[in-house]
Amino acid sequence: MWQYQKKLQYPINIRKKDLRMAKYLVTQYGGANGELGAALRYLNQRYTMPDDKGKALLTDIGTEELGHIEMISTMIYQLTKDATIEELEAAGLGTNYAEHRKSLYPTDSNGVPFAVSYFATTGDPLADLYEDMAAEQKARAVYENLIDMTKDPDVIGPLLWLRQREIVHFNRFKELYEYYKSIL
Amino acid sequence: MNNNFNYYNMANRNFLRDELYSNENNFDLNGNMNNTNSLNSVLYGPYEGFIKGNLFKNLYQQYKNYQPAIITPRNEQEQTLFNLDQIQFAMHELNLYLDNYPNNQEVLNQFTTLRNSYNKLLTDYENKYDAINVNSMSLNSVPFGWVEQTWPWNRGNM
Repeated sequence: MWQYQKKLQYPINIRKKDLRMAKYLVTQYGGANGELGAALRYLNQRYTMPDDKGKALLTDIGTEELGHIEMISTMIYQLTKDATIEELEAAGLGTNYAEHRKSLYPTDSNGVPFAVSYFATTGDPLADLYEDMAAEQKARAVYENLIDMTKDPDVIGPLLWLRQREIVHFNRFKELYEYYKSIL
Repeated sequence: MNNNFNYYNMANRNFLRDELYSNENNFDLNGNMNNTNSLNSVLYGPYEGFIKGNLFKNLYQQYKNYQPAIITPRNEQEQTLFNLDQIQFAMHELNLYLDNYPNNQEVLNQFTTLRNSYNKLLTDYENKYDAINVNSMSLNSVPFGWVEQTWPWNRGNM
């Protein structure tokens, strides 16, 4: 089971409304390479890992990704909370308001809703870990794209930090992959 | 790097300090870090590791010319929470490492040292400010603090 900790993994304080950035950033919530997909992919794959190392690593990284969903959600919330309907419409978020008001909703940057196909699980531990390594690299690349698209230091700080987590996770998955490759 | 060591004194602990870590990098990807003091050369201190989002020197990859954000607590509560964030992050990084290398005694020793600091900082924070966990001993009167105290996305700064 999980127990909530009433704090963010890394502090977020975005002071400036930016609907354009919120629209792009949402993909790291509900896009193919986003944190929701990562968390659920790892937590779903862990049951069929061949030994306890894999079960531990996928549980612990999957759990951290739940914390990253909270960070991205906090960023989107803070970027949009003071917006008027007119401002949302001007930023291309009118359709989002019509469906969800100001509630968060997991989509990619194009508004395509989150899909379970992002889980990409085969049950083969080597294939699954390679998928996870690719997922971390893709998420790292998207974080870099997002960093390139803003000048707000309140947004860049957490994005740089989340990007670095993708690099650490990639390497931990790679170590586990190489270990399994040597024994399976 | 503008390190802040106040919390080591606040916690009154003989804790591994950021400045003790050297710049050498002799990290062994097979998880062998068993020679004396080798951890100091492969890990950032809790402060630097936290702001970078990476405790392992050999894994850190800077993006373009961007430097990690410098986090500036505005008051004592935010400073205490920042200290807690750093120790918890360092523990988590070692946790992921130990998942792959569960027999590394030196890393486990470091994990244990961090956990002792974390538990003390957590209790101090929860007694003085807000509950982080619903099983906190500080939640002992009405109104129920879990409900009343600020939620993380509304906290601002920390």
